[in-house]
Amino acid sequence: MTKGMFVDTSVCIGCKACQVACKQWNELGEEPSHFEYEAGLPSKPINFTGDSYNNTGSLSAYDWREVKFIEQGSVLAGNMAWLMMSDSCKHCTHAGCLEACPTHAIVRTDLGNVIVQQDVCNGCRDCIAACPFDVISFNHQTGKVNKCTLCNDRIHNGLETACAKVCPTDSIVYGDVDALRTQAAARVQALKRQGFNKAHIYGDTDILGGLNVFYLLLDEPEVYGQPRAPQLPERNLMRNTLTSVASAIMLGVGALLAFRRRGGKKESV
Amino acid sequence: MQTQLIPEWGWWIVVYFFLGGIAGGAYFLALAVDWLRAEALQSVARAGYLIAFPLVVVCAICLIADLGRPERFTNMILNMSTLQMGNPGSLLTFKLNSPRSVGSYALVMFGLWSALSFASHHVFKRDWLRKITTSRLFLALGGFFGIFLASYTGVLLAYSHMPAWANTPFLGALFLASGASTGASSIALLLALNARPGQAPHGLHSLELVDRWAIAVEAAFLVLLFVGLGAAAAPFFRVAPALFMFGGTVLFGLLAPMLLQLRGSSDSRSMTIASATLVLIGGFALRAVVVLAPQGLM
Repeated sequence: MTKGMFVDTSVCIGCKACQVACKQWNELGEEPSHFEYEAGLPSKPINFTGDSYNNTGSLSAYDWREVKFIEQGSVLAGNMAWLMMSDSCKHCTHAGCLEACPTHAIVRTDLGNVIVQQDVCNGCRDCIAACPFDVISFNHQTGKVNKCTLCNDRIHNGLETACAKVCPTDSIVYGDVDALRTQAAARVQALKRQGFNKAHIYGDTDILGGLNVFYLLLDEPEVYGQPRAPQLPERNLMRNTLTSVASAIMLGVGALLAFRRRGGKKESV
Repeated sequence: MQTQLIPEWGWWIVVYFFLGGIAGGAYFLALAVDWLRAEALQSVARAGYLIAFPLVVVCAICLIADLGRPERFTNMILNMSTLQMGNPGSLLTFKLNSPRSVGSYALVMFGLWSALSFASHHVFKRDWLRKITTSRLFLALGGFFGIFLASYTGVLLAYSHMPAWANTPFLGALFLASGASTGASSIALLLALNARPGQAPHGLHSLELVDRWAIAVEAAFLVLLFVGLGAAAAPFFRVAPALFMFGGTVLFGLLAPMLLQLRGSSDSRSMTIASATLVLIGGFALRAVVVLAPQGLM
């Protein structure tokens, strides 16, 4: 039975209890780039966002959960509003990171969650380039990559994820994905009846075969910083291979002709 | 906007891509000479084999050094998920859809092939070994490994969600053309450096023909790359990347050597050295800007 989470952003209050619970349960330290300069990396010495209640700015090897605060409207116009979203790894059905990993360090468990086996990962970082959601991240202290595991240890012992456990408004709900999708569809209908016409599910089977952690959004995906139509990096494989073959034929024929022309005789100096 | 996380591929990868291109290109050209049984060009073949094997060793060192956990480089080949963790699966890792996985095997096979060619032409000159390393089957497989090594690095970058890498189908083709050009130039450079002043060794005219053709193919794919990328090419137009791309690659690596060669640089040892050096600078600048600029590391 595939497990996952339904994140209903319409009832998120931005309390960040999920962030704290994630940090506590998974024993995650502070994100180094928020506190010190890392040579060679495009981060500022003090990299706090400074203009938002979003205190992580992005997901990282130390921040497996990010609570986004998206301001809409304006105070002057009297229509100021916040959209909030607790973001994390989506545990995609077709996961780019898992496909790219050359060492089988990234695997899917029997419950459908995608995890990084820390004993196997060698830090090649192909998965970072392959993830269309900018989720997986390199840990400079361990030389390996990290991301949300869907609390792999908890769910394999019959517990729910730490973030879902502490969410005071049940914005994050853990359970069987099929049941969660039914619950989400009903919630979208209820919101539309209340006038939230843009309410929709982000992560149904139309996106990478279905996201096991999926969202109810009140606006377009781009507003929340999510790609509208994320794609697997595999799409580039065949077309790049074909043009490489074409290049090889052109260069090979050119080399053979050049050498054939000159190969049988001494070159004049 | 979501903050874009980058793989942080830096100079180790740039050097690996550059040297891998030279090794693959030089080896392919050496094999082409042997394929044609062109006795008059044996100096070209010997120089190609002399370049390819040592460079692929350096390539492997760069690739390993770039890993977050270099001591685990064997995990690219051995399936530690099965061997160590006890998960079901094969003992070897091989993922056809993962360029890095296929590339690791290609690197191993290229290393083996180029080592045999190197040995038979320079170290262990026995007839039976030479017979093996100049057989059609050996040459055909070696040519495939050489082409693969020079081109898969571009495909590796394209296997990504980063727009400047993902939104074009020409990265592998471009790197291969650059590999052929830098490979030909490396051989020419080696031959010219070993020649007496005032004397041009055999093979330079042929290498120039190959290089000119490779430069033309590279220029064509470079244009296609930029046209195809459109707005996604923006990272290449910031100050430092633009200097590398248009000063280093286009001016030094394509236009200047083409002009020198059209004026007959192979007739002069010093002109050959100048032309080959410019091509190598251009090839390095190309790898540097393509790898680093989209990550904001340049």
